Amino acid sequence: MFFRLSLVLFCINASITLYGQEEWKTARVNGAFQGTMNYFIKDERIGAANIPQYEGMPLGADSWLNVNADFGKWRGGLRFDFFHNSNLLNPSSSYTDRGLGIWFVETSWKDLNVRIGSIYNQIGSGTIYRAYEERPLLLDNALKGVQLEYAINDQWQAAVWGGQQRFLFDTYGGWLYGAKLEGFMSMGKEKKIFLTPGVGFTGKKLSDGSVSRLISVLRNYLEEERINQFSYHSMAYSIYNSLNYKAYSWYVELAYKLPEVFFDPFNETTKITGSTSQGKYVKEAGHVIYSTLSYAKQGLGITLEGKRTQNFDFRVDPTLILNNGLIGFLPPMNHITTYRLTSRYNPATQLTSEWAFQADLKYKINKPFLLNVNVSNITTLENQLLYREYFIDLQYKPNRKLDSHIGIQRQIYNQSVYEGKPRNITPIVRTWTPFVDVLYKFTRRNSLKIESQYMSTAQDYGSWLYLLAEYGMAPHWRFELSGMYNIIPNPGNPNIPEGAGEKILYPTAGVYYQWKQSRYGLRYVKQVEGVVCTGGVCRLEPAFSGVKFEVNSIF
Amino acid sequence: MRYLAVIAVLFTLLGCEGSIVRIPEFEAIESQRVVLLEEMTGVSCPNCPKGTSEIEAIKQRYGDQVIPVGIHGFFLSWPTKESEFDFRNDFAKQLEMTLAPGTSKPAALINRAIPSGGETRVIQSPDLWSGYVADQLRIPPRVSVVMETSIDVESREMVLRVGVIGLENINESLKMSVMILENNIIDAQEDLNDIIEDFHHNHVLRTMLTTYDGMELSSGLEEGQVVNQEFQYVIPKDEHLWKIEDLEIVVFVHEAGSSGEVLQAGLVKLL
Repeated sequence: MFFRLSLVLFCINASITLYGQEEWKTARVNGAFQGTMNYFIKDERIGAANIPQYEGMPLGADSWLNVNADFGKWRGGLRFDFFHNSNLLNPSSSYTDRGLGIWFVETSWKDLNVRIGSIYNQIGSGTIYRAYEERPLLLDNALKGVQLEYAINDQWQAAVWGGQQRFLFDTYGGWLYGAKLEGFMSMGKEKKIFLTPGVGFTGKKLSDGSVSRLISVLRNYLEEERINQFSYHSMAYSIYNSLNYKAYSWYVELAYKLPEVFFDPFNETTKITGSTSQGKYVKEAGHVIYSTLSYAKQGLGITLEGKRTQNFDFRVDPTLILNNGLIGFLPPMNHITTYRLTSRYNPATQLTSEWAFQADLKYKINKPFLLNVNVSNITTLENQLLYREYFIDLQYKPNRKLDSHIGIQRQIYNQSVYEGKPRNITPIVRTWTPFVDVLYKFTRRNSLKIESQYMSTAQDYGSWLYLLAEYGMAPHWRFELSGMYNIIPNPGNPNIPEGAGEKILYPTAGVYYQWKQSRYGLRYVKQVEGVVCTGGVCRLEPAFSGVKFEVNSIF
Repeated sequence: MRYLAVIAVLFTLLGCEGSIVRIPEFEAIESQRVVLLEEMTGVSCPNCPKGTSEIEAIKQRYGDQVIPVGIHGFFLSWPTKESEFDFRNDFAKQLEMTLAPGTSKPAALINRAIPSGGETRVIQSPDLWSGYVADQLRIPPRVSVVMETSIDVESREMVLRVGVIGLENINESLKMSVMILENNIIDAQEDLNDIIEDFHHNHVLRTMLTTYDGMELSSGLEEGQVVNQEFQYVIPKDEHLWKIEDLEIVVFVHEAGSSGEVLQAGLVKLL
């Protein structure tokens, strides 16, 4: 780490020397700090127990400090990460570490931009390559390496990069490299047709470690099922285009992955000892077809979206599991809502077999009324239903003082697939969730927001009632009080913790304070187990009970 | 631009060149090593029967050269609604908390060693366990562990005598851990489909005769040097559990430092 820090400092110093005192005077430094402290309070009744934080490590903290600087044509940045008894890496574990999370140095020469260090980029919608950060999931798969970007002309831009994928304060073994060519052009008599085409590829070279791990697994397979050989290298390609004409917009992306070894969790293995087990390494090609078509004009917006995925588990190391080592990002295909109960069941993207469609309509009925209807349907390629949702939201906003929503959501959610629970004792979850949300501004500074949702279901934990009141005193204070109440519990469900099948209230109380460019929050939280999705990446998180102190600051 | 194109073409060629890896046939390993496989498991863990199945396959292949230990610690180890017993105990909790805090399950530590090419000693994919057991079997043992037990069936008082013999000069401080495991417990276990009410649980860690992190054995060991230890314990009386005929005692010697790598393990049945 000291070496990395020294390298960055050297580069910064070199830039100052190169560009002289005048340039140094124009140097700009900015940054941001984000931190959370958690105090875990054991509550066995809701299942907030049996992880280290509830068993003797009650104080946890996560923080990130970014510092970026511009020196004329040079730019550099650092991020210090600190984790103490953190539950972000794995919600049921305790993770402690600190150090230099990322660093980069960037400069431009004529039309060429060069960046070394941590690189975030993506090809198309990210299907074959996306390096990004999602702090709530402690996901940061930046590429540690070199990137060259070249503006060929006003319409075309090319980029190439190579390096290793970041994992915490280290990198995974193996190498990633890729390139893309993207353009922008207008066509037609009046130049009203706009095209933004692109093409890209991602290559990877497995590390010796992952090759030896694969060998040790594959040599145990029954001869008929065994993959006899595989390559250190594999690649994926994609071609994409966005077409805009008047009120229409059409995006399409086709991605293809050459045959490579990956883990198929829905297949079954037979070992040479005769035993069988769920999940199998297979060698197959994969593809993703993704498209969106939208129309937007004068109070009417329609979006149709579709995605077909087959065998697209593309990782730096095929033996990694969960969200680890993923090279690409497949966009989620459900309606994203912010309400507590309507976002309780989220369909995580399936990497090996998925057919997904979504239609969204926004229609302005008249001045105060706006209607939003959304329908999504997700199945496997074998037509097994994974997720279906109908969502209707009517907004009533007669003036600046009042903004209200009323609506209902219907969800059908295959819990055993998305949460890995036993198939025969985990029925499909079917919910009806009506909701009302009213925001009233008493004055320019004072406002009250009331939210109410009721989820009716006979599955999982049973039915829920959620109420939230939020009082804002701009520009400094905001107070929050909410409760999620298991109004009709489902005690017969063998999947939920003992005691949780009762009428339990999960309260949250919080206060937020904004001062200049900093925001502080103090909250007491009791939260039921559930799937948490951030930016389309999901994972199952156990129940939480405790106090959270949050700080967000930019400078 | 030309340079970028050249680089892109080079990358593509690199991908096409593709060093081919051929999967070699399985080879038997002759070894004096006995490998400890500590499995982090739980009865409320739907994926854990996959770990059990993998351990059975490993036992079938390597026999007594592998000693599995089922650690029902924290995560997903709470009893199911069909469970009659609770396998959790303080030793299992401490071991899970220190060796593999909050790992996804099933997961295993094999001789508490970081596998070659790996980043952590916790191996979360059961498919990888067999290969890492084979890697450990190829490493010659540095100590030998000899065990002897006696038990008074009436009073249920048992005595364990352990001898540890240095097979080479060892400068590191060493620790010894002693575990009691129980086999043939029939009780509920979740799997990917259902709760299996009559699942056959083996190698369940029931208690330890040392602290969870082991007792001090010596500050080093010379070749041929012998260190003896004796343990006494009264087996609890229980209507359904603690059946003497199903109990096994596992002893292993491990480094006292942070690595804690296991040098050699041994197992003896109580009856």
